[in-house]
This record gives sequence, C-alpha cells and structure tokens, in this order.
Amino acid sequence: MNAAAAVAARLGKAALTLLAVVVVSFLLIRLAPGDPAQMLAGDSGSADAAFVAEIRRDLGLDQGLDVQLSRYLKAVLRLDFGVSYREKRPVADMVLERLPSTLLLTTSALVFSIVAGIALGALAARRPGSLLDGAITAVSVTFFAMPMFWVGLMFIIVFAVRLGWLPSYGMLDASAEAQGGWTALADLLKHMVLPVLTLGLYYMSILARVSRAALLQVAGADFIRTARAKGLSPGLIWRDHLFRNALLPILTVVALQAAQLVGGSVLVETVFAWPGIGRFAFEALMTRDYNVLLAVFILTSFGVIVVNLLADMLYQAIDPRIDRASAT
Amino acid sequence: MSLQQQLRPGSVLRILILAVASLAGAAHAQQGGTLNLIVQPEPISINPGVNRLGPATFVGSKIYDSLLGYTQKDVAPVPRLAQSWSISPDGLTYTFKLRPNVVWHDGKPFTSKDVAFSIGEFLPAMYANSRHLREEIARIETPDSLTITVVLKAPSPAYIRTFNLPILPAHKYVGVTDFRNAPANAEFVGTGPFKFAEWKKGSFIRLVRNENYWDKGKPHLDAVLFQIIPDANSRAIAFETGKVDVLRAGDVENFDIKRLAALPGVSLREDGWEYLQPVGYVHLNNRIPQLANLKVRQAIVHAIDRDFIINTIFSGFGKPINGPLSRLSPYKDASVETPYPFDPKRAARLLDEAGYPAGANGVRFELRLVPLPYGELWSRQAEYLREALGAVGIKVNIVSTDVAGWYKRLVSFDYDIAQNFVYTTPDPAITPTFTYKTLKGNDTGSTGGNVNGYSNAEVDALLEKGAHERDEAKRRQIYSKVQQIVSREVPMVWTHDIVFPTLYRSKVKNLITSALGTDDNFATVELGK
Amino acid sequence: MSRRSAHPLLRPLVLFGFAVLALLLCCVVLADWLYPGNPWRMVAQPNLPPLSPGFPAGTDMLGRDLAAGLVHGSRATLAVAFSVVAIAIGVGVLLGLAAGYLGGRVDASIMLATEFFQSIPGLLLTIIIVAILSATPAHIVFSIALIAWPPIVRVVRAEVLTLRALDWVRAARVSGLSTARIALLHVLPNVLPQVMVQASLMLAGAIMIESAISFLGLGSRDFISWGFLLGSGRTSFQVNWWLSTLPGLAIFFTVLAFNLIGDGLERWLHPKSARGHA
Repeated sequence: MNAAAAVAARLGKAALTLLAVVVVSFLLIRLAPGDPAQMLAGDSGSADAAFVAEIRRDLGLDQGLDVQLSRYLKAVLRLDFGVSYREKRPVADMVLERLPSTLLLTTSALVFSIVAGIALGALAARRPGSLLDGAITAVSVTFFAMPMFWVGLMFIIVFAVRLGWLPSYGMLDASAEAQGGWTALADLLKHMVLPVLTLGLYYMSILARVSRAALLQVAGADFIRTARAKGLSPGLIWRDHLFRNALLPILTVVALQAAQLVGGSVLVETVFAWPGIGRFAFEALMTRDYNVLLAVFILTSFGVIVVNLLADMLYQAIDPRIDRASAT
Repeated sequence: MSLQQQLRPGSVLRILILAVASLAGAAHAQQGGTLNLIVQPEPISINPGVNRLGPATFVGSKIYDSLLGYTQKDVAPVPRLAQSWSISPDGLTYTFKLRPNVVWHDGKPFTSKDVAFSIGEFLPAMYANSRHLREEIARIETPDSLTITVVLKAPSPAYIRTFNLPILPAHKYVGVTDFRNAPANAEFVGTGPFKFAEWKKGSFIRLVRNENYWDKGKPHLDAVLFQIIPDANSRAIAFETGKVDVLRAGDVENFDIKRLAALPGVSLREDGWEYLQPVGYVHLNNRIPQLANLKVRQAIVHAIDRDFIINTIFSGFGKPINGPLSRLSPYKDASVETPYPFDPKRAARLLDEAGYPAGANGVRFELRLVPLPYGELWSRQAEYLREALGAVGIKVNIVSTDVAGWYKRLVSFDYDIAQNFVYTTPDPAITPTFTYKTLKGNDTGSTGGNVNGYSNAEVDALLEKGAHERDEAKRRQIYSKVQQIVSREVPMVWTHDIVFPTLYRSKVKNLITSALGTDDNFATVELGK
Repeated sequence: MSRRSAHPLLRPLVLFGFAVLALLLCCVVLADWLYPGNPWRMVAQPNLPPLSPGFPAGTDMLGRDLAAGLVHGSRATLAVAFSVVAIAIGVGVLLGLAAGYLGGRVDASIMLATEFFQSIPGLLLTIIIVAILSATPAHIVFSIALIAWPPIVRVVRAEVLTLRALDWVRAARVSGLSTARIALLHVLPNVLPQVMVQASLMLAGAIMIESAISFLGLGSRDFISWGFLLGSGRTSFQVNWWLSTLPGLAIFFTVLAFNLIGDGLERWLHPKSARGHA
C-alpha cells in the first residue's frame, strides 16, 4: 500500500470507530433506568405528573429510540450536542468552557511525565545495575502501583492541610483571578502543582521503565558498537542514535496511555475539584444529565482516536519500515 | 458604581440625607466589607420563584424580598414589603398596605400588582405548596398600587405565617404564559438589599449592595460573595484560612464543627432555624404489609438507638424527638407523646407478636432502604440503620441511588424505608398537615408530603379542623390530640430534631436576627474588625 | 552480573510479591475466622487510632473495626479481580485463537472490535456502565472485563500467527488433525505462558479500577471493599487519617505484588526480552 492509501485507510478506520462510539454510547445511555425528566422536576422542588410530562416533551424523550438516534447523529455532525437537562444551556458551550482546564492539566501532566520519565530512564540506562538504577526502578514501580486517587488524597493531606504549602482544591482563587496578571498566574501555578504531579507520576513511572528498556536494547545493538568503534563521542551517540530509536517505543506507550489519561483526569479532577470536563462528566453522571455525559464521552474518544492517529503518522515518519499495527 | 452614576441627582440627595442621619448618630453601624460564604451544591438558578431547594433560596433571599419577616421568638410576622396589615373580624380578609417608594433592581416601581402576580399566578404555577395555598384563596384584589386584599375561602390562622415567599416583578412577565421557561427567570430582578452582580459558574456568585434599598442605611455590607467549593475538606480549609467567614450546616461535616469552633475568633450558634424547623425522618412505607402493622413499626423504632444517631453520627447536633412536631414549634406538646426508648429485646418480642418469627438464618423479612445521597453522614446513618435492624432480624438492603432517584421513589411510594429530612415549618397547618393527612392518589408532589401513606380518619378530621380554628386555645388542643395519636401510631421514625449549627468569624455581626437565620436577607449584617 | 544465575522467579522482589499474595489469600480464606461476623458492625468507640488495644487498625467514625474491614475487604477486591481476569482471559483467548487461526474476515472484525475497545476511555465507560446498570458485583465485574480483554486478544493472536508458520504445526495439519484439536492441544499450551504474564498485570489493573469505582461512591454498598473505605474516609481525615491511609496501603501492596509477580514471570518466559540487566 502506498503512503497516501495507508493514510486514507487509517482515517477511514478512525471515522468508523468514532461512529461506533457515538451509536454505542447513545444506545447505552438511553436504555438506562432513571428518568432525566423526573430528575429535573425533582430538582426544582416540585414534581407533579403534568410538569414531568412537559419536560419530557420539551427534551424529546417521548419519541422512539430510532428517531432520537438519527436526530442525535445529525446534530453531532453539526457539532450540536444538545442542551443540558440541568442548566438548559447548550452542552457544546458548557464543554468548551471546561475543556481548556482539562487540556491544561493533562498536557502539563503528559509533558512532566515524558520529560521526567525519559530523564529517569536515561539515567538508569546509563549505568544499568547501579544503585541509581535500582533506586529509579524502585521509584517507578512504586508510583505505578499507587492508586491515583489515593496519591492525590495523600498529597492533599500532607501538603495542603498539614503543611499548608499548596492549595487543596480548584484552579484559581476568586481573589487572585480578579487581580489578574502575575498574581493570577502564580496562583494558577500553585494550584497546578499537586494535580499535575498526581496525574503525571503514574505515567512518568511507565515511561521511565519503557525508555530505560528501549535505551538498553538499542545500546546493545550492532550499529551502536560500530559507532563507538569509529570513535564517535558518547554524547553524540546518545543524541543521534539512542534517543531516536528509543523514541518509538515511548511514542507507542504515550499513544496507548491516551485513553487511560481520560480516566485519570476524571479521578484527579474529582479529588482536587479541578473545573475540567472529567469532573463535569462525573457530576453529569450523578445527575443523569445524559446529553452532557454523551458529549464528554464522544469528545474524549475523539481525542484519543486523534492522538492515536498522530502517533501512527509520527511513527511512520520516524521509521517508515515498521507498520505499527502489526507490531503490537 | 461609577462616580457618574453616584452623582445622579436623586442619589446625591440620598447621600446627603444618609450623611446627616449618620452624623445624628442614627446609624453607628459598620458600613462596608464583603461577606464570604459558601453555597453548595451550586444552585441551578438563584431565583427562588423557579427553584425552592436550599442553595437557591439561600442566595435568592438576598435578592428577592418577601412581604413579611418573622421574629425568632414566636415566629411572629414583622413588616417587610408590607408595611402594615389587618385581618377582618371574620378572619377571611387580609388587607396589606405596601411600603411606598420601593423600586425593583431595574428601577421600576414596586406595586401591589407584583404581589398579586406572585402569589396569585406565578408561584402556584411553579410549586405544589403554592398551588394549595392558592386554592384556599377566594379572590385577590388590588384596590390601589399600594394595597392588596386577599380573601380566603375559610379562616386560616396559619396564613399569616406563609409569607416567606419571594415577590417577583410582574412587569417582566407581561404576556408570558409559560412561566417555567420564561427568559425573565434568569434576570434576577428583585427588591432585596442586594443586587445580582456576577455568577461565574463553578466559582462564585457575587451580589452587591442595592443602593436604592427601601430600608435606608441598609444593607451595611458592600457585597456578598458565595463561593462554590465542591469538596467538604476544601470548605473546612477555606474557613480555617480565612477565605470564608461563615459555615452553614452541611458545608462541613458535623465532626469537623467542634474542631473549627475551637479556633480563635470563631463563634458557633445553633439558632436561626425557628421558621424551617428541620426534623430527620426515616419513612416507613405504610402501604406494604409488614409496615402496615403497628407492632412492626413500633419494633423498628425500638430497634434504633436514636441517641447513637444524634451523638455519634451527627456529633451531638440534634435533640431527641418522639412526635411529628419540632421542639421549636409553638404547638409542640411533648407530654402527650409516646416515648420509644432503644430496646432491641422489646423490638424482637414485638416482631414475634406481629407474626414475623425469625427464620433459620435469623431473618424475619427483608426491607429495601432508599438512602439520602446528601453526604457522608447520611451514608453512615444508612449503614447504621442496616445494622440496627439486622440485629433484630430485619434484613435491610441499601438501594444505590442518586438524588433524582431518591426523590422519585419517595414521591411515588417506590420504597420500603427511606431517609429524609423535612422542614416542618412553624405552623402545623403549613407542612405537617400534608405529611399526615390521607393522600388522594399516588403522587405526594413533594418529599414533605404524605410519603408514608399514613391514613387515619380521626387525624384527618382534626387536621382539617385545626387549619381553620380561630380560637388559639382550641387550636392547641386539636393539635395536641393530633400529636398524641400520631406519636402513638408512629407512621415513621423521627430520628432526631435536627440542630443545624452555624460557624462564623466573630467579626460578623447580626448574622442571625430572625426566624430564617442565614436564609434571611442579610440587610442587618455587619462586618466588624 | 552474577545475579543472573538466580531463577527469575526466585528474585527477592518477586518472592515479596508472592508473600503478599499469600498473605492476601490467607485473609480471604480466614476472614471469617480472624474477624467473625459482620465487618460493618459497630463494635467500639468511634475514631480510635491504630494500635489501640484490640484494634490494630483503629476504628472509623461509627466505631467499626478497620482491621475487620481491611481483611473482609480483601474478599471483594480479589473476587472482583479474579473474576474479571477469568472472563477476560476466557473471551480473549477464544477470540485471539479465532483471529489468528481463522484469519480473513473473522480476524478483521475481531481486530476492529479490539481496537474499538482500546480507543475509548476505559474508566469512563466502566463508570458509565456501572452507574447505569446499578452497582452489583456482577455488573462491576462485567464492566471491567469489557475493557480488559483486548490486550489478551492481541497477545494470543500474535503468538498464534508466529506458531502457524512453524513446521510442526504444519506437519500436524498435513497429518490430518482437525483445526480445533491443533488449536487446543498444541497452540494453546504455547500461548498460555504469555497469557499468564498478562493475567498478572491485568489483576493489578482490575484492582485499581475496582477501587477507583468504589472510591467514587459507585461501588456495591453490600460488600465492604478497600476503595469504599478510602472513599468514606475522604472527608473525615482530620479526625481519622487512618481511614484514608491504610486501605490505600492495602491496595498499593496488592497491586505492587501482582506487578512484581508479572515482571518475574515475564523475565522467566523471555529472558532475552528488552528489559536489560538487573
């Protein structure tokens, strides 16, 4: 298959996957017990049958499942995710308001985990079998085994409550936000430390182990020995050969973890009351706000699919010899 | 407000008058400052005409004034938007003289049309309780812009106590038939001491002083900031670090309250609930065979150690209760109540007598418990109930549900036992009547209604009589009898007479000055040093 | 370098993993003997700190014995984890064999399904399903297994593809053995070791997800679990920090143990795998 056809095939598969996500999750949520109309009625403090029926009509819940589905599919194509049952506002707007916070959190965590993970992996791989290597491995294994929500809770107890060094919840203090400028930025950074660490340490530990293994594997390869024999400096060897080859497995792992990162952000955002879409989804779950739940699920799946696509293409770009799909 | 706005002709005069009044020593109150509180969970709307749940009325009561206020002692009515009122000798006609020169936050004048609209059309369209009240009214008249007359179908001594209601601006609903979806609902225009300024979703709601408030010199505060902090731990920390000045009941868990109250400069008080009078319930669905049996219900009450619930689960914030009315109710008569002390042996005996012997595995029968998913303490209580009833042979299965599910099950009788707490209100004719009167149909309309399915013809007759009895002594007798019967028949478990503590920094003055406590309009609150 | 002579499964860390697993199995089997009756019962004063006489792990705010909760909680946790792995492996092996051995359309559609389940946010889907279907242990197991099986399919399929090309398999086919017999008697035993490695890691993952669900309050209320204990202690850590700490340690050590065992198994099966030294 030539490159263009391969790309087209991948895009096609991604689109198909996304469609499947939309249909499956729509059906799943619609078949659920629990009635959003009743919920909305109850939430306003009054609930007679007429009122509930009215809400049901307003939201189109009284029509057949197939009608609702086709209506929904058409709407999603227009990027219209309906209206939140609770707030009577377009879901797309509500998600857009919260998306930047989540992106900030997850991107920072990812960057932290990649940088720290590769650094630790490289340090460990430089001197395999040493005390440093053992210590780094121990740290990686430890953070990999700790439940994220527990780590977050412990961080809050130690650093926010007992020591008082960092804030325990949210993204910005109302007062700092009002002042704007550097004060607001500093406040934001202070709020970011614990959630980013909580989310990032887990992936850092994975990446540390993967990059260590990848670097060691490459380090033993023939072409490296050849380069050394030729007299190339170790630094150059590291930079030009080792890292580039180690990047592939790292990239694979990062792409694979993208789906998990969504779940991680739900947990971390809930523990830290971070105003992102992870927490938003959890609240929507509690209040049976189906439109919101669907929208978050679809959008996060879309994000994961895009990340995987990009990783695929990056993989191809770095090493055209390998077809990633069959390598796993 | 910008300098330009402040220098409008009318306000200059007002400022001068205010200055003179201050100099005269009429007002030596501390002016200024922002009061920081917490509202949780974040309300959907802060218009109490649209949403009556706790968070909405908490914030909305500062924006929307009501016709009357109520004192802490006796829950007696005092003038607010109504300057004075009179009741005709036959008890049917209520004439309210409204305060002149009151303006809405958008500048339009407040008139009797607004009151007629609110109690006659808007609120009854939104709430079952308001609809019941409306049905008791024969007609509403507005002879002039500052007078409103309400003629009842039958005398109702409780009526004057039902005016804890927001008054909404009629001029914003001209031509509107669909009140629920009216755009004006989200514009938050009231006559209260504070105006809506900003609502940053997920962060805070900010109200600022209404410079044109009818009560000159008030409010004292510049602004009120309701912070939205979804996490109980974080709320406690916010209070400790001074970001928040007041913690209301439910903001933090009860076990944190004693610890926080011990901090320097912090005060704790338990009053301010004289109007709402919250009581904790465990509903027993009288419609299912086991619970229709009086002995079984009695056994259940005996099996539960309600002192444990008060002292351990709710950290002492509660008082024992053995009947339908709260200790704060003027009609409470504890002398006629049947006490049900904690006595598991007695419970087991009663269950045997009722015809439910224990099986081979020790289980007599099973019940589904619908818990109140409002927080950790209610979860702990649900777990305790399961153990306590399990100890006498009743296997309890806790249903997993969310708030919507809980609400739906309660109002439609889809439960065996369920947790709840209800504001029992200062007059038995307001809420308790609906709780104990036989229900027609299958939908109670609200969780304060007759969720238990209790039915007693004698009680029905007494409640009907008591609602319209004008002789105070006779009225007391009637309600005493009601309490006697209901307490004996124990249609539900009254777990505790709830005490809702309020924590606040000592610099906050006049936080609670009426029967509504922190649910009042904060016009008199000051921030000292 | 001299450490390489020790059997991979006898390395100290792996032994530690086995030791933890053994301790856990003791808890599961002996729970009723160690702490008879109902761990939900209120037995003592509330909020006793750990190492109080008779209550090594302290009590919670209702006076319930945390040690009893931890020991009984091991049952819920391990039961869910092993059930998930059993189902995921059962389904995964079957699908992997089918995909690798039958090829063509079957392979394509199985791989599509596999990729689909790997492209969606797993925890979010699990939470949604549990919340929709209600939180019984069966539903929790089902929803976790739903996202756990894809890696098994890939591993099995890859092994099958490798083995198909081998001479002895071709010989078996030529000699007339049926496809099913070859698959079950010859291919499967060769696939199992790698599956075991995956199983160990999957156990760790299942425990993490189950405790996350319980922590969020979406778990079953009938069976005490570590995640639930952790979640219930979340707001009360100012009065009883042990409720927020000890169950977390239990989860941590269990997950760690399964990871270490999995690592040991991996090293044993693939001594030349890309793990480098030590």
